[in-house]
Amino acid sequence: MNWDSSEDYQKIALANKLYYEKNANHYDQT
Amino acid sequence: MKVIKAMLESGGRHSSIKALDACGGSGNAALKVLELGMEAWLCDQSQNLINIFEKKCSKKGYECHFILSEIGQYLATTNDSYDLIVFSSALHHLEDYESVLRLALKRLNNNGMIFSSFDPIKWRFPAKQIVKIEYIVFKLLNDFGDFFPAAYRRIRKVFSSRQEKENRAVKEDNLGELAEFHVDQGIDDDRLVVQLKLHGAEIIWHKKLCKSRYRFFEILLSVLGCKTNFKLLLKRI
Repeated sequence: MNWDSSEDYQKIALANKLYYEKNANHYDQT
Repeated sequence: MKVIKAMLESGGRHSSIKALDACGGSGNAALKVLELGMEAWLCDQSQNLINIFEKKCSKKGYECHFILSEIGQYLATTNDSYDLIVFSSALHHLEDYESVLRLALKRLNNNGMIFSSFDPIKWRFPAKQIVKIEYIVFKLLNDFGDFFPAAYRRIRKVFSSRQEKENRAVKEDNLGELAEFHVDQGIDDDRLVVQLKLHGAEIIWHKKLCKSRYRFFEILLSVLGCKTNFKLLLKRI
């Protein structure tokens, strides 16, 4: 990530990415 | 969404309306946009969710456009512009949603709009307490397997210090909690509106709503005058 986002922003963005990659199957049914 | 489309058309946009579903996930908002005959682009950082969006599009015969990127990164670096940018249940996942909205404002075409919905407002008593009870009921009825792990995560969170919370690393067992970053406190929508106005936004709607998974809780919240969510429609001046 190269825009001037903070470390916290990047951390939360990463958590979102990992969470939704892991739980994507749930959204296959919606 | 129909009303927004009509507003964009009355603002002089008659050729195809180009919309971005920001943090679009599996594309619920993008599909609504496509159903209304607009052109939809979906931005998300999860390839798995984009695959699901592609599958849904192909099933319905829609043309599928997507951008695999974190939304802040995309908005900060792209030259693309849109007539409509939708954040559907997205802002509370972004640590700095205000900066992202400001970036989105810069990517709007003339008379373009940003629509945000399904985000929690800053909690006030007794709304937060009622919604917590509602969540316990939901877990018991619909996700019992995660009921005790969720209770453990909650207890751990209550007893961890602020410093510990801030330093908490991204780990398998706290991904959901970190992903739903602003759910616990909610978003201060009144402050957000003031800030966006200062950065060149004109607010068309700012609605506070009372939402629940269950009718009983919705009535209870409504009787007590509690608001839980907000919707924003804005454009760049």
